[in-house]
Parts: sequence; C-alpha cells; structure tokens
Amino acid sequence: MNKPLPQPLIDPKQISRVAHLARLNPDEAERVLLRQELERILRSFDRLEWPDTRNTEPIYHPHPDTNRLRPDEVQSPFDPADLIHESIGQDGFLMAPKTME
Amino acid sequence: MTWDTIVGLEVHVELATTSKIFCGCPTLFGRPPNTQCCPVCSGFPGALPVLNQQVIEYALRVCLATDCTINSLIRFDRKNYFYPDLPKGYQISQQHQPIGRGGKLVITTDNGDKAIGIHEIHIEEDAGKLIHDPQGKHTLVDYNRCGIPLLEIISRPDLNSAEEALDYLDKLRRLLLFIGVSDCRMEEGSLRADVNVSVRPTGSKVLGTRTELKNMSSMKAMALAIAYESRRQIKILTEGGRIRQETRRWDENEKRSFALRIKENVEDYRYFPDPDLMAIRINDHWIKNTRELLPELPDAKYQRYLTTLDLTAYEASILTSHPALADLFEATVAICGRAKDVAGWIMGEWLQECNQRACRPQDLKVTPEKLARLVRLLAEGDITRGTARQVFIQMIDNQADPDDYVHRHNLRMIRDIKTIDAAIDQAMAAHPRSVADYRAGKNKVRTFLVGQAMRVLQGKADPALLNRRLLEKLNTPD
Repeated sequence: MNKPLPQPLIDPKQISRVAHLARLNPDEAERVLLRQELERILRSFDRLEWPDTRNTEPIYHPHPDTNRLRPDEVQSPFDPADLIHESIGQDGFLMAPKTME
Repeated sequence: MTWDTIVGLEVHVELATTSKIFCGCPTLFGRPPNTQCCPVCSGFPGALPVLNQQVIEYALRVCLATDCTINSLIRFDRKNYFYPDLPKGYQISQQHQPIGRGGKLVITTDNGDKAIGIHEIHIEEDAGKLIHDPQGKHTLVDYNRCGIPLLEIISRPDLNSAEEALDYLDKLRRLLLFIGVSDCRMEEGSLRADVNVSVRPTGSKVLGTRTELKNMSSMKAMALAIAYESRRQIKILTEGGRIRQETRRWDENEKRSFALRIKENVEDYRYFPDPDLMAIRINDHWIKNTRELLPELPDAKYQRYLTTLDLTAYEASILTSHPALADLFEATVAICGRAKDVAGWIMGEWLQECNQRACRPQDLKVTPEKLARLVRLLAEGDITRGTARQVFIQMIDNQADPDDYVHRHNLRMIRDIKTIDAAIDQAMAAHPRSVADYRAGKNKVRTFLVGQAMRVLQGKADPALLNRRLLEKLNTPD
C-alpha cells in the first residue's frame, strides 16, 4: 500500500538549528540553497516510507553474524608516532582549534 | 514555600581491561600523550573495530550485581557529535539496545534503607582528553583515552540530597571495586559522575527542569556542586525566573558552577546502529557462568561482619570500603581468629602507614600470615602496642618475621614485678619534683612518670602492671 508523498517543510528555525549543530554560519543565499538541498534529501527519504513495512522485522546489519569478539590482549602493530604529523603536533599533543574562551 | 531537590546520577566508569574496547591499544594511565593509539581508536578512515570480550564480561557482572534485567541481544549505535575529543566524529555507544535496564542499588539514609533505581547500564567508548590552555592559541588533544571501555550507569531521579548522592556513589564504587571491574580512581578519571539536579515545590509530583553538572573530580566537590545548584535553582524560581536546561561546569576554585552549553537533545546526536559492529547475543548459559563467578558483594560482607564476627557498623564499613582491606582482614582472621584485634590493627596502624606513605592498602607487602602472628603477639600480651608498631615497620620495610624479630631484639613484654619496681624507683628518684607535685594533687604528672619508667625499660614493660605499681608507690609516702 503506497502512502501519499508528503511535502516536507523546513522552516528557517530548523535551518538555523541544523547549521548550529554542524557549526556552520551560512549567509542568506546559502540558507536558501541549504533549504532546497535539505528538502530534496527529505523527499528522497520519504520514498523509503512508501513500502508498507508494518509486518517486517528491521534489519540492522546485512550480515546475520553475531558475537564477533576478540580476547583482551594488547596488540600494537602501529607506531603511534607515525600517526601524527609534526606540523599539527606540540609536545606529543595534537593541536585543535581553541574550544574554550 | 519549601522545595525538594531531585538528583539523578550518570556515572561513567572505566573498565579495567588491559586493551581498549575496539582495538588492541593498551589502557595504561599517565603515559605520554598520543602514545597509546592506533588507526582504529583515532578514527582513521577504513579502520574497523572489533569488540573486546572482557568488556561484555565486566558489564554483565555490573548488571547482575545491580539486579538489572540483561538484554539477550545488544547492539552498538553511533552517537554523532562534533568536537576535537572525538576523532571519528561519533562515539560508539548503546542507545537502542543497551546491556541492562531496571536495576537498583540500596543506600542507607537517616530514615533507613532506600532503593535507588538504576534506569540503564550501557557500554560505550571513552573520548580523548582536551587540555585548554588559557594563554595558548590551540586546544591540545591527547587520544590515549579514546577507546577506553566505559560503562555508563544511569540512576533514576530517586536521590533527594547531596548526602544521598554521595552515599549512592560510594556504594556503587564499593560494588565496582569488589566485583573487580574497575579501579574506580576519581582522581584519575576512572570513575566520573555527571549530576542532574532539579528542584520542585514540596509535595509536587512534576519534575522541574534539570541542569547537568560536570567536572566534579571528588566526592566532596560533587556534594558542594549539588548543594550550590539546588540553592541557585530555588533562588531563580523564587524570584519568578525559569531554569534553562543546560550543562554546567563546576569550578573547584570558585566553588560555583558556570553554564557550559545549552543541553543537546537526544535527537541532536542522530543515533543510528553502527554498521561496523555485529550484535551480541547473551544467552542464559553466559549469564549463569558470570553469576557463579561473582564474589560476595560488599553489602552481604558488611552484614556478615556485623552478625558473625561481631564488628561494629563503623569497623564493618571501613573494612568493606576496599577489597584489599576485606581480603587482608579475612585471610588474617582465618589464621588467628581474633576478628576484633585484626580489625583494630588494620583500621589503625595499617591505614595510618598507608596514609603516611601515600600508598594504597594493597601496597604494604605484609602477608596475612605475618600479620596474624603480630596480632597474636600483641593480643596475648607478649609485646606492647609500641613494640608491635616497631615490629610492624620492620615487617613492611625489611620483610621481618614478627616472632623472630621480637626474639632477636629481646622485645618481649616485661612482667617481672621486681624489674618493673626497679624501673619505677629509678624514675621517681630522677624526678623528685614530679613526685612531690603528684602528691600535692597534680594528678597529670603521673603520665609523665609512667613515660619515664617505661623509658628505663625501653618501652617493653607491661603498661597495666607498671601503671598499677607506680600508683601504689606514689600513694605510699616515703
């Protein structure tokens, strides 16, 4: 049974909220573009609502395997020093943008 | 109007595994920054996680010890948020099918026992550590902590004061220590509590808007933070204001909390099942095996100490505060009996030495066998308490054998009346002024004379006998 395709409505508040969560600060032109793109994404998702899945078990994983576990053993095949480029490091720490005033 | 304070605790406990939750990196504390990480825990694209079995074992123990219902099928979800402590951009956690729900922990209040509900226990990975340098241009990031296995134990809002919250956390700490799943060191961050506080008019059934307090590094700080937050909210509401749902940071130096950020809602984290991790089935056999391996829990131990070993509530409480103390106590009592004497020694001299040496109870290398012999020597009157202390130090520092040490250094208690009388006579002769003072009514001088006579016998005289003989001599005029 197909459901009718609803018209998603994204209001400016929702755009602001999503932008805040993504730590973005779009200008007005970008907001219009974002709105159009987000509505297109939502419409795509709405297509997933079309099939009737009321009697179908959700699939969390394409593979039915369970209990893939490893023993509690230290294995360090990598040298952590290789992971940090000197240009972003300081005294062994990584440097990130300042997160607190 | 009177107000009730409502408190719920979200306790994060780092599990004592040797490797991380999803990779083989070690979990040692205090190592140089970024020396215990790999592509998996530092979020390199394409790196895949594999779950550490011990994490499930430990989580099961905690669920069983807190009477939680265990889910037979558990899954992991991605909690998405954007912050430099999280290199993957998401934290692997359990939102939809956590390992346990609906447990309880019993605390002791002025009105008797009170069961505090445990809403949920779930498994997740820890995030990295950020260092905020106020002068620096950057935030410094250490990913060693990324991927350390955590349990988040979420209580129901059943706590009504800072005292109850402290008792709950202490009970939980004891439980986790005794079942061996964590070292629970708050100062190292292996036990951390976020506190949800709200207030409501007494009698109201509606929960008020809550705030979440973070960054309390000790039990004391937590108590201060709850009391402060409760007062702050009552003041705002009394003045007609509204409480904002927000996360607040406790400042230990200023003894006040500051708004950190507006609290995100659960949908902001866009949880979804982690496609890289398979579900875990926990069957009855696994649960039964884990239950059989659980040791006696601290509450049961406490009751047994009261009823069968005749300890006081205070003694039982101290001895069940850490498994190292309870193990030492029980192993020593198994050898020499004398539960009261052993309890007294552990709570007195043993803990005092730990305090002075700034070490943990288990760090004093004295075996229960040797401690039992020392307690017996003291209890049977073979040595004085002062001598016992001296021997104990030798046992710690030089692994001395108590009987052998006492014998070789001729430390047995002197009970020979003639010897004791001679020592008292010598002390009285050396301090005629003190003797005269005592006889003139200054009773306090007697303690000084006891000390002087004891000194003549190098502290080895039977103190009761020496006291009695000295009193007799002082009360008999020359």
